[in-house]
Amino acid sequence: MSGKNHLAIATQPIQIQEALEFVVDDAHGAADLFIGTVRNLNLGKPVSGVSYDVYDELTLNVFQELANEARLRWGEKLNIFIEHFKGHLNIQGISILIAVSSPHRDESFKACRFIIEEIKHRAPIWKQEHYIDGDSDWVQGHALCSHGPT
Amino acid sequence: MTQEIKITVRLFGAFRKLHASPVVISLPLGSSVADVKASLGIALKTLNPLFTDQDLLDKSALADNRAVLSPATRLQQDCDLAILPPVCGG
Repeated sequence: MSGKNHLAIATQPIQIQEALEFVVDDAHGAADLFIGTVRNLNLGKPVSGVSYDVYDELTLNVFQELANEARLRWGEKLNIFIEHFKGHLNIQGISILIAVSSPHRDESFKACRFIIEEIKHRAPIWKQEHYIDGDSDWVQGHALCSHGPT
Repeated sequence: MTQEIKITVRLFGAFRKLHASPVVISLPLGSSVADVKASLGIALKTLNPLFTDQDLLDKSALADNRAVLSPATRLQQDCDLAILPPVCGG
């Protein structure tokens, strides 16, 4: 039987326990969590917080694609939880939480790493850093390109 | 007479500061996504003369709710698109 997905854009604080409870499975001996948080320094500039902008519809499509691709590579049984925050976060706020469980540890480690790396390159999400000095700036990122025949 | 289509473009990321609401563009039926991008640049400069960041526009992609679109895609009806600057989620 195929595993299950929880794919969402969060506007309330992301709950770590909720992710763990979603992926646990009697037949799974491993669960990996990746937690992305807001740090207080970027490129030498003190940061006070970050605002996240998200194109919800397309981001959820990308999350679905990544869950499908992860199962093709590491097995149908993976349970996958992905939430990305939208809105303002202070330092240490959780911006993204990925949880993956699998029968054995190797698959969940690899799938979790794959999903976060691909999100950084493929999901239409942007962050605006707010600095201690009152300035703010949109962070430079990765240009998107089309993959289909359209 | 050439038939026109209406393209509504939502703004994200660094584009949001330029204009509060979606930008609506009229183009001939069959125009390409690349045509939309060029017209969007002109519209943004008209709406906000402070917009001079052509490099940002060049590095951005147009998409609908399902996928990022190829610049060569031809549009055959009114549609809702989004302009997506380089991404940095996580």
